[in-house]
Amino acid sequence: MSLNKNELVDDLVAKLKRRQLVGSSAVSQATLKLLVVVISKNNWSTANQLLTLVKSVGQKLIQANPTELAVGNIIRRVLHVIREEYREAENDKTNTEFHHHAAPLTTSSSMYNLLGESGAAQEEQVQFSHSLRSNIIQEIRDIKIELENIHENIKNQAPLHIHSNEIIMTIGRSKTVEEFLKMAASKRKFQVLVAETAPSYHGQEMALELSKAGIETTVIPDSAVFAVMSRVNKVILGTHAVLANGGLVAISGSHMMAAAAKHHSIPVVVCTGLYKLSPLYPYDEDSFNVTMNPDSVLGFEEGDLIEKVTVTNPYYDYVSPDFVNLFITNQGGHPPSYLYRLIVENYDPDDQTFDL
Amino acid sequence: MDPKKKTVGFVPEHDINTSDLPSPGSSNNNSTINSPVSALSNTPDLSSANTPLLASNPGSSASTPPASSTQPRSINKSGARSSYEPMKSSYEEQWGLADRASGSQKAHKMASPRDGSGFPKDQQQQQAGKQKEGKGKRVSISSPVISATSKDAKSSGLGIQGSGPASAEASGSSSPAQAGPGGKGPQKPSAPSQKSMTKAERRELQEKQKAEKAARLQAGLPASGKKAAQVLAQPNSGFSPNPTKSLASSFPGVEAEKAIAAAAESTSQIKKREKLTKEIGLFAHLDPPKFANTASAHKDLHPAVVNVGLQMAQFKICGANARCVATMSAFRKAIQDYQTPPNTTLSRHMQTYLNPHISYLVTCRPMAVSMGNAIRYLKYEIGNNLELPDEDARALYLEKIDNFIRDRITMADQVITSLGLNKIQDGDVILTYARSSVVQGLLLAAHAKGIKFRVIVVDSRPRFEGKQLLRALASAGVSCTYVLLTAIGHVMREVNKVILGAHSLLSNGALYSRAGTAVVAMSAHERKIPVIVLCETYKFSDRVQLDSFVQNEIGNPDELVNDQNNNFGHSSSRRYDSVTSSASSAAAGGVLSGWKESRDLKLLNLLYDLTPSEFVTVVITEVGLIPCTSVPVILREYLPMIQQ
Repeated sequence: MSLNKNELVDDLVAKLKRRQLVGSSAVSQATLKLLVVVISKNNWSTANQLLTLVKSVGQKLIQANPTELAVGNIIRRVLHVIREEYREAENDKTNTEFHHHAAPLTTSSSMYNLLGESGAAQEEQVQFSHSLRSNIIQEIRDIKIELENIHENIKNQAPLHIHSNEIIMTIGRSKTVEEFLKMAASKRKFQVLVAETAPSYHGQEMALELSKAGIETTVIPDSAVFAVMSRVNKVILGTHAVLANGGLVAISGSHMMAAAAKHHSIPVVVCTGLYKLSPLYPYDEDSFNVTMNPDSVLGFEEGDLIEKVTVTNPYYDYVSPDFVNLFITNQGGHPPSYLYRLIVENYDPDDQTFDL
Repeated sequence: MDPKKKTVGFVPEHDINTSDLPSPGSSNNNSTINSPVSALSNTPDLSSANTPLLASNPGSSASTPPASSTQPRSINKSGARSSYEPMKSSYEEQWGLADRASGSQKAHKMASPRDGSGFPKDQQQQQAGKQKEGKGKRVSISSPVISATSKDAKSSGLGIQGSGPASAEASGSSSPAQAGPGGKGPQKPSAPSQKSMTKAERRELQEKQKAEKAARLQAGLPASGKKAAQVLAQPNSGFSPNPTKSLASSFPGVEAEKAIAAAAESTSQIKKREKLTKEIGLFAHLDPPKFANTASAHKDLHPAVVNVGLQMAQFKICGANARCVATMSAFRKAIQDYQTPPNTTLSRHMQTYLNPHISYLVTCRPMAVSMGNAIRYLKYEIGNNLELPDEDARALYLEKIDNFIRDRITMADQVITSLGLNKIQDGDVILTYARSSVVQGLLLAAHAKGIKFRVIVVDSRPRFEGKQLLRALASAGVSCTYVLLTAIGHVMREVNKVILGAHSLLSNGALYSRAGTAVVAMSAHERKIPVIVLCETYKFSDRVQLDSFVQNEIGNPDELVNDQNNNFGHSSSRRYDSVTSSASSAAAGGVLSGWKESRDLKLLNLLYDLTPSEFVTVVITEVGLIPCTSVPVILREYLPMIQQ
């Protein structure tokens, strides 16, 4: 193991810990970059070694900041790629030997594993493949390209979802939603209401950006969300992460907006790249939440008051899947009920946790 | 126009405030005359602003300003009760109005706001006469007191001449009633002849002026004659409005032309104002946000009412109960100091006397439902006792006001508190939103009773009213948590009761309250947490509303711009959360500070919202615990009392 690689890992760990690097998009790209280095610069001879290596890096990164679910997602994607590549290589080999091993996709299905022979897992650990390294690196490059094109893929669907003269409501600032709306604005004329999203005021920034793009934007205080919801056609949310059940970890205030939309039977659309889809399940609503500096809620000027009261400033909200009508991902639109399938396609069930 | 027929209607802001806008044609003398007014509207501290206002009353002696300038302070600090004391007998004490009452009583014994005595009027007319002769072309800043009033007296006749045709332009309806006095205008006796008028004649003139003011309001001109004249004079005012006006009065034809030009001018100003506040399509039917101004406060208004109006416009008096009590106490003072003009009786003239006060309050801020109900009650009592001798009637009205505040607000709150106490138990986690005086009272009473509970105060931009509640609770030793509305989903889990205040309960059971209440109630409803609303029955309204659009109030959109000096002491500018590493710096100076320049950016500061009745579990009123769908039933019981 080279020192260089370890330093890179520690660097990213430190950045995650200090929250210098935040946001699913930035985090996932950094993780992927690191993994390319880890895989290409290290000596490994078996698939098993590589899996262990990636898992150990993943463990460190996830421990550094467990709320950045995208880190885990990217690691799992890479692990999945490694397994797939290995199985393909394995298949090529066994096919010539007329070994009736299962197709890659079915191997990853848990049902099959339950009934089929479980010897395959041991087998793969001792196998070796020369072409594996380059194949895996190539696959990771593909993931990287996918990440880079996510906004493009999502925003191209915008005209399919937004019609003329719509009133759209959103909250917080999501690059994906911003691009989505801007794209739609180039084809359609519509209005956007943005909840200002106190105390981070990301909504204000979002509104400013949208108005610069020529979209008729109105900033509303968070308190007016329910009041104006009845005239809204669609609620479009960005998200920090999508959980296995289709629930969202999104900017605080999203829950209230989604619930208000549900009350008024207004569709809630979530724009998200698939890299935000996590196979983890929220056993507690606050599992993936993070509380921020309360200063922005109750300033330190109010010193006498602060001593006496508890001030909470949660950064995220959990939005349960029944509030969401549609996910628009880089692979198209999906209802929340379809997410399990996407998870199976993208991640290996063995990689739920990174226990070595 | 018959002033008695004048209805309490909403007067759009731009009608009143036009003269405060920078107008292209206006010269600097405009600002000279405006100086007391603009100082007033800009000064956040009412007590200082109060002085020129009071001084503009013809008869007010030097002792008046200090006497009542201390008054607003008391109510400022205690917008409503600062602490709940269940058995307080005097509402004035309780609502922090006691010193106001005594203070102004003293003051107005010395000087009546209405012009009863001949002397000041004469003086004023003398001044007016002088100005007409061209000696006092420029109104000096050093004597805003006399100048303002004298101009009032003089220009009120002129104002209406212009407003006859102007009304056709501005409001699109030229009624003969409006045109009538306008036509009479030129024949109006000039200042010297006014001097020799009898008291009755002066009285008549005063009445006419009042009618003219009403006409001006309708015509889309500032309420005070001075302002109206300014607006009218603006298009071709060379140096000062005075010479132009005197000229105009001698040539009615020129006058009419000018009025048309003025109307065009004022509509352009209206457009400017609209552009400034950027109307939002869905809310175009609502009044644009109002700003504190005294332009519409003319000398006939009682200073106590003007005070209250200004404080309401600046949200220094805020909250349905506080606004109602403040209004009623101001009216009480106005009635106390009222002097019956000749040829009428107090009870017959009272309504006419109060109407401009009421419409002034409306120009300051749209009337609260509570105020509307209280005023309706007062009018009902006035209308019911028309045959009483003056002093008996006065005593009766004062008593009725006192009783109303005592029975419908003070005692009602005590009953609600005692009923509410049964609903708070040890270990409760109670969530409340923003600040309601009744909720605060209940929570403090529960704490005083020794119940161990925790309170989560949910607050929201832009007013952060919950901070006040938080401060009161925390200093009483109640264990409190403070969050913003966006965190409602986060905190709602641990809550087992939601207690909310109300601005009004509508007849369809909907709760009309501070914007954000609906979200709180919805979140609670979603988790099957009981939502308890505390509401006095006098806040019940016979209005029916299905959404938050049809009737609502728009606040000043600039409040949403979170720069340092506009954030109610809220430290949003100091943000260290690195979650937004890229964006945090942008927010520091107020992201939206340039919103007026941006073509596509609008801000909506909605003040109220409507909570559907299904979110509300129970309403605690002084008549018991009722479902909110029972509002019309209760309303029927009280209908004869609060409705005319």
